[in-house]
This record gives sequence, structure tokens and C-alpha cells, in this order.
Amino acid sequence: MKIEIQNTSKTYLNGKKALMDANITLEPGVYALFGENGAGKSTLMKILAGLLKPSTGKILVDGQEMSPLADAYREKIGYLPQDTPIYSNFTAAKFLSYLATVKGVPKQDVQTSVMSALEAVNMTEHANKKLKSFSGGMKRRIGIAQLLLNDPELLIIDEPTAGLDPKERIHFRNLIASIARKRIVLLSTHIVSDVGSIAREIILMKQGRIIKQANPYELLDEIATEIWTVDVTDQELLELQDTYQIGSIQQTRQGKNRVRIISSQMPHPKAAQDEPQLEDLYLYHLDGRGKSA
Amino acid sequence: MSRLIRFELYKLCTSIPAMLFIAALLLYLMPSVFSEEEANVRAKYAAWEGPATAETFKKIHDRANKINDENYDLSGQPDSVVSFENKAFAHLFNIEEAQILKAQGLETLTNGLAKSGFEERDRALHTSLLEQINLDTIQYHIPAEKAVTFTTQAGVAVLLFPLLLLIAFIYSKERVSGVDQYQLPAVNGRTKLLTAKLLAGSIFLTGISLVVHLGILCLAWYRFGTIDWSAPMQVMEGLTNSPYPFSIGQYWLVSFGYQTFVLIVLGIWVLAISFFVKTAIHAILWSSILMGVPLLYQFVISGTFFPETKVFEQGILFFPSRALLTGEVFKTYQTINLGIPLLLPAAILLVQVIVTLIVLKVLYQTSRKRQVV
Repeated sequence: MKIEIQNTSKTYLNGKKALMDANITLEPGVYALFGENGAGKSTLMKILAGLLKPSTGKILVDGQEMSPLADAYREKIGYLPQDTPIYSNFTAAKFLSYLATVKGVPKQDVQTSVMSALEAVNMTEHANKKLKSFSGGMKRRIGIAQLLLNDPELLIIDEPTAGLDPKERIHFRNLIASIARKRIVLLSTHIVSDVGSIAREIILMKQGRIIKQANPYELLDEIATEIWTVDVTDQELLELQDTYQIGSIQQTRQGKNRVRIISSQMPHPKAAQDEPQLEDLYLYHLDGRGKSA
Repeated sequence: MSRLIRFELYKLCTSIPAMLFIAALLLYLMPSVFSEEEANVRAKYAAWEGPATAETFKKIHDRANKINDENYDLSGQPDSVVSFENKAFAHLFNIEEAQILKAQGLETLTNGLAKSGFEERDRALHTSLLEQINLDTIQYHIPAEKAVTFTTQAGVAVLLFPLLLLIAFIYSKERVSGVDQYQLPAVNGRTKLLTAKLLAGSIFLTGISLVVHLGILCLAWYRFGTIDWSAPMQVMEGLTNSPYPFSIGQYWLVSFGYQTFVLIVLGIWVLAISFFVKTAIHAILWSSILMGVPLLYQFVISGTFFPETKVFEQGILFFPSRALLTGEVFKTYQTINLGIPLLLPAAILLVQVIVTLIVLKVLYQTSRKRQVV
């Protein structure tokens, strides 16, 4: 399956331009959408899920233009919204059976697909418990489970790891990695470490525009000469924060601050270049300073 | 589709308000049927059963005058005996009133001259209906009247409203909660799901209507034993001028079908409201206005704001919540000129069908293109 989003924009009735001239090509693999709140990630995902009509642009599926409202398109997709709405008086199994029915899973396959989905998110033992008794993380897992019910070819996942504990996040990452071999997975997240290692491509969005789309290694190579670390005193740290884009800060055994700095110039006489990481990439492009300093 | 309908029904039936409704219904039914005085009134009424002649009614009037005379000797009987007899007379006088109104109606229809072809057909229809009404016999009908009165007046409508509000609440809450974000991208999540909701709502309301009607029937049978449903509906309080040649039993069946249809119409309208409003509170508010104002306007708003004209009184019956009161719909003879005379109950249904078809068209169009912001 190949999906092309061409020249797609969304302007709301109040005049707000949420998405501007997006062009993306998606093929099986994980695509990670990075961007601040309001960058247009959810808008792009909702357009792909058929929940929002784009103001301009079109979507091509395997080269054919197709409306996200067409049955043939909707049969191929699974969508997980940012929050996890539920029917609180349904059990987990009933809720998934309901959604399987809504998704058009044949009657004879519903039970199997529900149990497989529950197993995939480690929720089998909670199948017959009411959703109102679930924690936020458990509800999120049920949300992820519903994605898998109709064996979709395109999974659109908005902030999938929100509310999950570290163990669940690792499990989710592995699950996504396994299902993305033959499917397209488009997901947005603030936690770059969750998907960096499994993403085929990273799509960076800012103020409604796609500013970068490339393989993670290519993107990291672009900033390979701009990441520095240095151990500094508190006073020096304050001075660096005023001048440079600062990444993580760690305390050293000597009581100093080990600071990651993003800069095209050497920021400190003792600074040494370091391997760029995805968090650096995120900050470099999206924290508001851009390539300043 | 059947599985979708089952799930939608499950949502409606497992809600706490639905359970509360069933409990309220039982509580409401009990005292309305289990009154202690019925056997005493029956005893007084039974003495007059037989042909409903002028002579019989003269005797009834004489007896009524006698027992209500201040000099009447109770001979040791309690006052309540007179009260029971007066209640029996009130029912008997309904039969006499119906006879008089029928005779007056036929006389007017026979003597007057039709000014148009429509008026001629209208008179022929009215005459035909009146002639079929058989008021020649006095037969004990109070249990049947009690059961039917319960289901054809405002009490049952007020009781049904919480269920309609429940539909508005559940479906608007579902949308506001964001569950529709799972539904709308799914292949069955738009028009098929809407159809399932409409059918589930209709099945739910039909079921409740059936429960109400069968419930009162069973309680009435339990309380009164075998009930005679064959008396004409004109013997019922408030229906003495009705032109429809139904027995009380037939009227009960017609009323059940009519109310169920109107309930379904109301359910579709309420579902449409829940489809377009932004919050569950708005859904309840607008649904309450749609249902409550036509039904309760006389009670909550001063009568000076409403013209007491026949046009207004019958016009308001075109609102489904008011049309639930079949006692009003079938109360008098009224037709609409469509070349042929269209009886008021049929005209009401016709208008509601047309409006509902428009509502359904808008609902389906919206559902196909619905967006989530």
C-alpha cells in the first residue's frame, strides 16, 4: 500500500490555518510525526482518518485518488484519537466487539479478532471487566487494541503512549515495530525516544507546515556538527542559557553541570562535539529558536 | 446490521434511567388500577345494565335526583354508598350524552345543505361514521375505560418523556465524549450506524409502549378479572362527541398503534437534536422544549397567551408530543380538505411522516459528511 498526500491544507471556519500545503508519501513502515502542540499533527491525522475534510489537496491510494470517506478507504484504516473515549458501562470485550462490528469485521471473526487484540496489549485477563474500572493506561491499551481489530493497512495513532508507564511503552514500541512490517503506521508523539528507533521516517511539523521529512539517521547527520557537551559551573550555565539553545542538563560527580548545547559554533572553550540524538533534533527544529545561535 | 442494532439497544437498555423508568412505571400503575371503590361502583352500575332507552335514563335521573335530595333517608347506610352510586351515574350519563350528541350530529348533517363537493363528501363521511356508532346498550365498561384512559391521556406521555430524553442524552453524550472518533473512520460508522441507532431507538420505544400497554392490561385483568371491551368508546369521559365507530377495545388498539408511531417519530426528532447540539445538556434542553411545550403549555404558561380557538387546539396536535394524547386526537370530528376529506388523525400522521422524512434526509446527508473538529 502506498498513500500520497498532495498539496493538502486545512483552514478552519475561524480562519485559522491548521495545515498548509502538506505533501507526504507513506509506504509500509513507521512514520513519526513530531511537532509542538498546534503544529498541525492532529489535523493531518484527522484528515487521513476522514474526520476532517481538507480545504485543498487530495489523497492517493496506490496511485488512485480516493476520498477518506469512501468505504474502500475506511476498510483499510485504524485510528486512535489523542484521548481514549470509551463506553464506561461496557466490558473491554464488549467494547471491542462493538467496534469490530462498526469496523465491518465479519461476525464469525469478531471473537477471534477481539481476543487477539486483547492479547496484543496484554489485557486478556481484563476482558470481562467494565471499562469504568480501568486506569488511564489500561484504557489507552484498549484504545490501541481497537486499532488492530480490522487488520488495517494504515494505522493512524495520535499520542499513543500518553498515559502508559515505561514498561507498557516498551511493549507498545515492540508491538508497533512488529505490525509495521506490512503496514503503514503514522503516529505522533512528544516522547521521541518511543519511536525514534523504529521509525522509517520522521516528519517534523511546525505551525501547520511540514518542515522536514527524512530517515532519522539522515536528519541526525544534518546536525552532526552542531551538538556539543561541556561541564560548567552554575554561573557559566546561566550565561550559556542566555546565549545558546540548551538540551539536557545533568549533574556530574564533581558538582558541575554537564550541558548539551545545540550550536553551529563552539559554545565554550572546553566544549566537545557529541553524537546527535533525536531529542536534539526535536529541539533544534522545534523549540522555537530554530538554528539560532 | 442486526448486531449493530443489538449493541445500540444494549446502550439504551442498560442505562440507569431506563431502570428507573420501569420502577416509576410500576409505582404509577399500581394506584391507578388498584382503587378500592371499583367493586362498589360496579354494584350500583350493574342495576342499570340493559337497553339504553330514554325510559331507562329517565329512571336514572329520577334516582339521581332522589339520592342527592337533602331529605333523602340514608336508612343507616354510610354516605359513601351515595357517592358510589353518583359515580356510577356519572358513567351512565356519558352514554346518554353520547346518544344526544350523536342524534344532534346526524340531524345537523341531514338538514344542512352542502355548499361544495368537498363539503358533500365530508358530510357523507361524518354521517357514515356516526351511523355506525351503537349506543343502544348499557353495559359495565368502567375497567376498560380506566385502562384506556391511563394510556390515552397526559400521564403516560409524561412518563414516556424521560425515555426520550434518555435517547437524546445517550447519543449526544456519545458524540461529545469523542467515541464517534472510533466510529466515523470505520466502514460501518456513518450511515449504517445511524440506521442502527434509528432502528434501535424505534425498537426501544415500541418495546416501552408495549410494556406500558400490556402492563396496564395485565394489572387491569388481575384486578378486575375478565374485562368487557365491547362498549363504544363514546361512553368514555371526554369522548362522548367522538365520531369514530370503535369499541373501547378497538380504540385501545388503534391508540396503541398511533402512540407507538408518534413515539417513533418523536424518537427520530430527538435523535436528530442529539446529532446537532454541542453538549448533552443542550440535547436535553432542546428535546424538553420540543416535547414539553406542546404538551404542557396550558399548565406552565398562562392561558392568556394562547388563543382558545379550534384551529390552535387542533393545530398543536400536529406536534408529536401532543399527538401522544390520543384522547384529544380522536375527540371530535375534524377533516382537512385534500379534495377528499382527510380525518385529523390521518392528517397528523401525514404531516409527521413528511417532516420526519425531511429530518432523516438531513440526518443521513450530515452523517455521510460528518467531521470532528
